[in-house]
Amino acid sequence: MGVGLGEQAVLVENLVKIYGRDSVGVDGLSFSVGSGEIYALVGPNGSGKTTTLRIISTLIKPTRGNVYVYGVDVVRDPLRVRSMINYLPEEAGAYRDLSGLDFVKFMLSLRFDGRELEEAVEEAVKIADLGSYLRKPVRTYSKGMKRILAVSTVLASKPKLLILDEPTTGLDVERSLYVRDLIKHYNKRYGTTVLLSSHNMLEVEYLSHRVGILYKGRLIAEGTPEQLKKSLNALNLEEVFMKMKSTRGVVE
Amino acid sequence: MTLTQLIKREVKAFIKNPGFIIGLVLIVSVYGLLGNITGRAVESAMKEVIESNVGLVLEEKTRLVEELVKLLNTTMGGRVRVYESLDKAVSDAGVGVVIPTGFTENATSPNKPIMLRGSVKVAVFSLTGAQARAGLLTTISSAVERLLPLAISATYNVSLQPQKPVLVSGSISFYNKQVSQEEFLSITAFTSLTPLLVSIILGINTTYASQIVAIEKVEKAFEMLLAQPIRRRDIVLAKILGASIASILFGAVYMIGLLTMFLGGISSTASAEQAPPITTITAFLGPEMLGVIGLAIVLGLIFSGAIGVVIGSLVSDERIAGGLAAPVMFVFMGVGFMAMFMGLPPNPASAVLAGLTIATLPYMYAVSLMSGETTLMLYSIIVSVGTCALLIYVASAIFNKDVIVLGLRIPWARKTKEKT
Repeated sequence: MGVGLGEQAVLVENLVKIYGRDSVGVDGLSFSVGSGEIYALVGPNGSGKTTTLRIISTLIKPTRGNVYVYGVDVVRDPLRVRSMINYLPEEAGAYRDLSGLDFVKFMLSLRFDGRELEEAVEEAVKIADLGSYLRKPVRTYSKGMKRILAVSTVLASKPKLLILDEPTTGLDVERSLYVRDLIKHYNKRYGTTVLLSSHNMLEVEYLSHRVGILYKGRLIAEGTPEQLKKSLNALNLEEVFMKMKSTRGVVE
Repeated sequence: MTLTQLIKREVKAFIKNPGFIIGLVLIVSVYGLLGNITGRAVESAMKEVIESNVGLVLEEKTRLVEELVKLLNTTMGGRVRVYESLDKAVSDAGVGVVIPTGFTENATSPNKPIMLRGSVKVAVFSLTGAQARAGLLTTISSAVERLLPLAISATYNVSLQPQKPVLVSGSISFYNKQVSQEEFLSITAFTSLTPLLVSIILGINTTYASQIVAIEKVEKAFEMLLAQPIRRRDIVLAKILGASIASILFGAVYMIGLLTMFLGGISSTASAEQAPPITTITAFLGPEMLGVIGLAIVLGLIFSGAIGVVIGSLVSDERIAGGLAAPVMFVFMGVGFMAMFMGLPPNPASAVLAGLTIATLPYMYAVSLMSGETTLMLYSIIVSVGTCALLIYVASAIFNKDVIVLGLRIPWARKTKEKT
């Protein structure tokens, strides 16, 4: 999938986010994600990945700059943006008092009703694959089970744009591979655009059509995994990231 | 040693909890202010009682009565005035006592009781203020009891007679309606205590609402919810209504408990001829009073629920929310106490105050009904509805701000955190 094919799913222009007086979250960030593309933001802790994803998801507002999702301004018309996206936060959990099934039903009932809701719930149950645990309260779940429950909810909602902050964090190897395949499957089958952040370079390389490397709130490199590897003569994205770190003097 | 470390950790957790610190400041400042206001109000009520004139109506004018009036006037600092009728005495002096026909005969006969009649004007729904005025009758009868032997001695030139008890049967002129002391006590206690009971339910509701939001943040489902295609205002309303339903259940159980307790006490003490307090209350305030209490609870739940949602929105976890919501509950109770001690006069300022605090709406209804100024209640309701709408707007606005995700960043709290 090349850049700019079809319409732009996400357009970020000179985005700035300042927290309080002395904390800069994002500093003049610009990038775009094409419709149907899987785009990964990578970078050290505090580089602005989560801030960027939260702004695109309409959870927080930018200090300056413009952000559009399928041409809709996230500040001016957040409700319309929310109807096109779904967001998986880095630490997504679920209501402890509900069963996993009830949580899925509740979340999906905010988007669908009737037959559509039944189908979406059925799909989420299939994705979560938690067996009899789905009828048990979420408070009895492990971290990984909660994560897969949240992933199943956002995937089954089939949004035009899926925003995933560290989608496989807290999952074991087997479940991580399963989730990566699911993301690929939804992207191919339904044309879902995916914008994700990750610290796992293998995951990023496996999933992404394009990668943006963030450092101190700025985009310092962007391209396909192949382009990035070639430009730095690296074997994999992990090596790309380490080389970028050493050339930029990045200290986490 | 280990226990010391554990205790240190627990104490530090509280001291570093900004909700706890803000809560302490809130309680000290609000209760200080309420104490100041109610203290002044009680002081001025007491001063008014001490300085008010005493109206006497003399149904017989014997030498003994004249001597007694003279002594009474000297003892009370020249504040005794003589009137032709009890109504005139009450309307003019605020308190009137009748020295009835046969007083002299009763006073000088060994086996006859001495009974006075009296009435006192009360125009305030404050337990302390009103009781101070109602107590004037007892003060006068006690003075008569003490001075009577001296008056007999001076009038008949005899040695001092043994002291005889002097009783007073009093009624109260309450906003120009004559009520018995028992009826007066029932009405005042009801109108003063209702705001306190309502405020307890509102305080609980604030805690519930703040916990609903704060726990959702801790459960980490909140950001997912906020990214759904729903209006933030709907989330706010759902949380207010959710907390309100829980509070109504709590309130219903609480009221049943209280009624069981009170009715048990009443059934064992009430005499057959005495009307039960609830009959007195409905006779004077009408069954509409129950509707007003219901309205105060409904508006109050919206009001306190919105405050709770605001608290929950600004904090990062339920520990801080609890630290802040608990003192807010005490502030609500303080407002309830204020009605009990202070007594709001029937004027537009009181109507606005009752509208802003909401828990005092039943009190304001009683004041406006008894004083005949029913438009004041309308003012209160308008202010209450406006306050609720404003708070819902504020809560919805906060839900649309970054603070809902990031939490409130208090500079001094951050510095403490960074140091540790």
